[in-house]
Amino acid sequence: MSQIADPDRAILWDPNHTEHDMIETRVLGFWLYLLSDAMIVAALFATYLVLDHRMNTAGGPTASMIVHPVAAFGVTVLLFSGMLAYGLAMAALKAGDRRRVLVWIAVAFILGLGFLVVEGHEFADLVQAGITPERSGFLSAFFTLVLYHGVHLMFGLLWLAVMAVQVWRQGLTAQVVYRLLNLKMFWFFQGFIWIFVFSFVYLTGTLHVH
Amino acid sequence: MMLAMPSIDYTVHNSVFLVAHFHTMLNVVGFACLGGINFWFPKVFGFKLDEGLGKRAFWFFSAGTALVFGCMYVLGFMGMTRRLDYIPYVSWRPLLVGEEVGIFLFCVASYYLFKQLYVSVRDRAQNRVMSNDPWGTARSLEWLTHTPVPFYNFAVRPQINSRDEWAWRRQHGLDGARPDHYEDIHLPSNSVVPALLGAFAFAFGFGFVWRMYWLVAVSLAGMIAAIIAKSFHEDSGHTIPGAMVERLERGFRDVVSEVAPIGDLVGGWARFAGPREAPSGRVRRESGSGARVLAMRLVGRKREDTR
Repeated sequence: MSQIADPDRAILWDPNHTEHDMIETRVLGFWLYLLSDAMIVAALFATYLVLDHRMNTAGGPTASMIVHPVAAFGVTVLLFSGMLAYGLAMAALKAGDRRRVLVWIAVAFILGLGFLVVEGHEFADLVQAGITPERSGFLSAFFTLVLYHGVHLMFGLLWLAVMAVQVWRQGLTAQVVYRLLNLKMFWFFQGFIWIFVFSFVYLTGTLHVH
Repeated sequence: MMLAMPSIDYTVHNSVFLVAHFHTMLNVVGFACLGGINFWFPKVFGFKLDEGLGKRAFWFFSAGTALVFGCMYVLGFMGMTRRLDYIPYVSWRPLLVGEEVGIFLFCVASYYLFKQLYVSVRDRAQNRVMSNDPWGTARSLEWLTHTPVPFYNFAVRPQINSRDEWAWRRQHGLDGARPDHYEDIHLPSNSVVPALLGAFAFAFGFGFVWRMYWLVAVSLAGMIAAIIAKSFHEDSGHTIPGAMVERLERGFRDVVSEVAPIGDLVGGWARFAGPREAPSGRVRRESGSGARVLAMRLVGRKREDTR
């Protein structure tokens, strides 16, 4: 037991009990969501690192045959520009400039969309060449890991669009602001995950030929 | 964990020892559930479950456990494998009969569990709980508020002085302590969206399991639409005024035997559910008529059917 209070002088009722900061509680809740998401991502990375070996390709392609780190670098620049754009939207939010918030959200949306279009083309090419998730254990892990990130970004785009409408229609109310802050965490988290995808899938994929 | 040890694993592999072991572990969860139901039942419904019948169920359940799984462990050591459709050795028979007797004891235990529930609901007027803490020995925070719990949980959030705050207050004679004033309580409004999300999520999983991809698409779209629609519905909840809270709380304290918002399975729920209904589209509801109705019910109304 930590510290035993003096029962004669103890405060029994929280003097600040009516205060609850909506933004703080919502942001805390979103942190918990992100942590659980991070655990799934960690499991996917562990799976990928185990299956990224010639033994698990069942005669199909290895990572070095399907990843293009230079193309991936291009989309990385797109994605991180999208992160920067949202960061600038947050700076505009701090300044209370609704119009600039909208402009930077739009820029972030376009850059994120560009990332998804390029990635979509890449995967469409793979599928057309007969390289599908059910081909081998390695490809299952590859598709799951990279597309898990892609689907998250897709939901991020949807969220950006909804927030643009809400900022435009409702202004920077507490409800809108906490959602913008949560979206910030979500959006930057996808960039953070992409650093690892780029390093462990695209860079290491070309580095060693198993 | 036992089977992680290779020598044990080789010895008992695929035997009924293994079956006995993991079912005893599940059985421990079963015991914990029964204990939890008996312990928190009054917290939820305002009346205790019948103790005598509960004890009887416990002893039959324990005896059944010992007999069924004791025999099964021994059979495992005697070499009985699982999923047999015949009995190759006569020497197993007495122990198998022992298991069957144990299963009979389990059946008796479940009879007493159902009887306990039936009798307790029938005689709920006698088993009604009149204070926060019907056990007198509870330690944790949930027993610090009323039993059953009002819709606002705590009228005033308690300050925590000790890890087992309720036990600490009882030890120092502070268990009757009440706040000297009450403030407005802000509550979120009811929403149909979580239930809707649950229904859509069920359809989503069902669609994937049975490869009905149109259902997957529809339910996914439904989930997304429900969340977006809720985010546009700007409802910041409603407030129970401090004066109303004080009247409700006094109702609990002073005339608890007459008010008795407790001890009635359906009625108790309906009374607490009163002010939460009709969230309305308005942004803020300062003193909704629902809360007023609830106060009348709690403070003013007497129970006629307690005898």
